[in-house]
Amino acid sequence: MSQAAIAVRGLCKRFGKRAAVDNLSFEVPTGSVCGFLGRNGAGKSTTLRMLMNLTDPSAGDALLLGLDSRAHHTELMSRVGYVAEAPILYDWMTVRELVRFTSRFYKKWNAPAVDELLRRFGVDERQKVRHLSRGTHAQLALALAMGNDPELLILDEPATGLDVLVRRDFLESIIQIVQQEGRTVLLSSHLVHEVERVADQIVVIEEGRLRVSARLDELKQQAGQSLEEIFVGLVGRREEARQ
Amino acid sequence: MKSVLPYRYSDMVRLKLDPASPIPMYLQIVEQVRRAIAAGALKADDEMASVRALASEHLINPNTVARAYLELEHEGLLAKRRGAGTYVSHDAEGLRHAHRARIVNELIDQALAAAREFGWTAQQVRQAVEERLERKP
Repeated sequence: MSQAAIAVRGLCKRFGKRAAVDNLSFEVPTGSVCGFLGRNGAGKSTTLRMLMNLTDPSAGDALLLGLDSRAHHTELMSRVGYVAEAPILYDWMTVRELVRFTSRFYKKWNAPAVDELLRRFGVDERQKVRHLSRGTHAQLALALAMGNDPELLILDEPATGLDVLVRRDFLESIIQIVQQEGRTVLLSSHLVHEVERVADQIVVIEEGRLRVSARLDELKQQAGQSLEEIFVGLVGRREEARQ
Repeated sequence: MKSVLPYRYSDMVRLKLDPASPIPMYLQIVEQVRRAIAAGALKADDEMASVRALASEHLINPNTVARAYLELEHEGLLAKRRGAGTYVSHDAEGLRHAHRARIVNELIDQALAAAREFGWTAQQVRQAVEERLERKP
């Protein structure tokens, strides 16, 4: 394995007295699909926002594709794809207009790949973004994030709020996306089953701190448990675990 | 005769994978392919599904499939052919004996572990085995 696609080193984020992210360090190997797990409020989104330079860390830093996330922000924008937890898209545009608009921000834009994804998702390009269902909205955001052929794709709770069938479609598209060799995906979620299917690497955080960072198969073999049992063991409160 | 084994080997070409199992997915694939070869459901020079196809079919990470295939290549059960996909290797039939022995031995070990737990003597175990061997199939 060459250099890590993501290297987080001592990352901290404090909001007043509260530490949302507390001295977090982990690496994601190039070419892997990493499930970033934690309960609601564990600090997942804040961590991803720091990786994307959308918020400044209180301490520590992060390397994406070997580059400092802040110093090389501009270059990284052209090589990394990101879908926020609740992506905000200009909803007065039609899908076709939004795709054209977004493409102009990038030097290279893989229009056929975006069109292909939209076609597969069954997104009607003439529709106004405002009129799309929640699932279609999420799929459109994913398709747009794929426009610059990202080497690294960062997805914040991409499948939350989607129904089972749409989630399945979504997982399928993520699998197709990683078929391209060397591409890395970091995917945050609190839906353990989903992650268990696609991820080969797992990072679990709780209250902003790292609980585990390991290969999924090694984790399972060591514990002799399913990911859900491991997850509950790591982050579940004692009383809950006993019930 | 009703099979004591967990799979019907004739159905084995289609894998049954459970992502929620404590057994890592790549090991599930390795084990099922091993068994299929041991049983003769997969024969020497049979072509395997591509990593891509298998990953899409089961909605799993292609890295997982690739890792399983690599493991099976190391064991000599599968072989990559330049530009032509992955095949069950030539000598897989030869390896079949060893794998069949391994599977039967594992089942014997399980039975012996149970017998030990119930405090059976070696004599009782032998007698039980003899009785079964004499029974008409």
